[in-house]
Amino acid sequence: MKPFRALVNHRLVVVRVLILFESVLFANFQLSGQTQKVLIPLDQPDLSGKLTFDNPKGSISVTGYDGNIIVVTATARFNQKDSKTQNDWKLTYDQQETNVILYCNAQGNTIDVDIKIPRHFTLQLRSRDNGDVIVIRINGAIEVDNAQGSIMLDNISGSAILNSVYGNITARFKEVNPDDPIMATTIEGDIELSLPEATHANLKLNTSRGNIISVFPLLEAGQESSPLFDWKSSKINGGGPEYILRTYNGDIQIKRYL
Amino acid sequence: MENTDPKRKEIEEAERLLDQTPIPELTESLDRKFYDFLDAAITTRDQFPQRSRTALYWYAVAAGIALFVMGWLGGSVLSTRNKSSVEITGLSGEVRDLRESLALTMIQQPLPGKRIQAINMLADMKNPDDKIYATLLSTLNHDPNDNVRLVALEALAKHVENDQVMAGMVEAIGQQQTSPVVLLRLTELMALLGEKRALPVLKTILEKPDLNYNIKTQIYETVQGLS
Repeated sequence: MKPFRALVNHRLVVVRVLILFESVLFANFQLSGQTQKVLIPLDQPDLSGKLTFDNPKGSISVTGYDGNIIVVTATARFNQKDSKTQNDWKLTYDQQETNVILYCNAQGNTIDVDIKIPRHFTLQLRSRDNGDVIVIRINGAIEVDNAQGSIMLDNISGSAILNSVYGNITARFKEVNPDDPIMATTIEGDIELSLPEATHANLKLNTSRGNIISVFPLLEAGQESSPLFDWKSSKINGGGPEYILRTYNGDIQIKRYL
Repeated sequence: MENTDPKRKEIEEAERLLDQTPIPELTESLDRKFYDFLDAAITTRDQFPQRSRTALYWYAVAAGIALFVMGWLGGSVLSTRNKSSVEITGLSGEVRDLRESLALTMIQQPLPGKRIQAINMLADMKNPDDKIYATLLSTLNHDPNDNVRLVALEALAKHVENDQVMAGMVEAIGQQQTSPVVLLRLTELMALLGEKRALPVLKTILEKPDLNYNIKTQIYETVQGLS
């Protein structure tokens, strides 16, 4: 029994070393193509981790799955005739246990980045230009900053703090964390928030130029006394953590998660 | 002489009658009856005093408990009258300090949700001190997340009567160029408060070429309204 186990362990180590080697290979040498792939094995796959990624230009798509390797596939969106700058972009990462920071040195290219990741992860994502941010099937706290594009979250268990300027924000929660606040702010876009039936929350909603529609009954919880505060307050199922939705030029919709 | 005494005659008569009365035979049933009667008599005699004795005992216990409870209540009422107000204010002061230091620690957490919770804790405190204002102003100016900045701004807007807060908010306008959502709300608040000190910085921002159209309109209208 013991030697067999040792053999299995040994094999695991070999696989991991191979994967590491492969990632180094892809990250450093396979620069001639339009697509780069990085595999990040997690030493403690059972624990939840944190991924930080700041994409200077391009979209980010993160999907949770039942595995223990982070698979990053980055693709340059446009074919550039000047092959010199086209091939200069580089994807790298820093890893401390389950804390992973991904870097994209885009060299002016628009790089769309697709990430497959173990489901229990905290995400801190930012796209600075030219792309949407999509997050699907994640269990954790999600922070997204995408001033220029839209933000789409679906099948999420946890909480989210989302910020845009020109984009729409859609966030569909399968489950919400009973203690954590949820917040979504934009200026030009609509906000759509889907919540499970049993959510307890204190809502603060404000749109300067749009409408507010909600399937949960919005009971007026009393307007703030000062004219400085213009939001609509309401409680869902008796109240809970604060959910703040704020847009300037868009509608706000609150739906049931289906 | 012997036969003439009527009393004697009567006695003799009675003796004769007694002699003539048949003596009943001592049967088993009679015996049983006798003991049954005896037993019944014994049990009735025992039961009565026993019942009254236990009842008395319980009355005494109840009275003891009642006295004890009354003493306790009376004592506690008297003692709260003397000490409680001092103790409770002391305790609530301690709780407040604890909450404040907890919030000030939480505001440095990496998760923006935790920082928002910390700001809400600080905003809920009664009679906030300069330290709380300074923390909120620093968050408004330096937090990496725009939403956290916005929550700090809303918390500060509840204390615009404080000079430090108002001056800090005016100063913060220049720091929000990378946070359009915060800049828009801050401009809105300046318009609502009629804060003329905000004019110079708003005019400078208005000259920036890559400003969001809505923010530009809002700032333009605010500048018009204030000047």
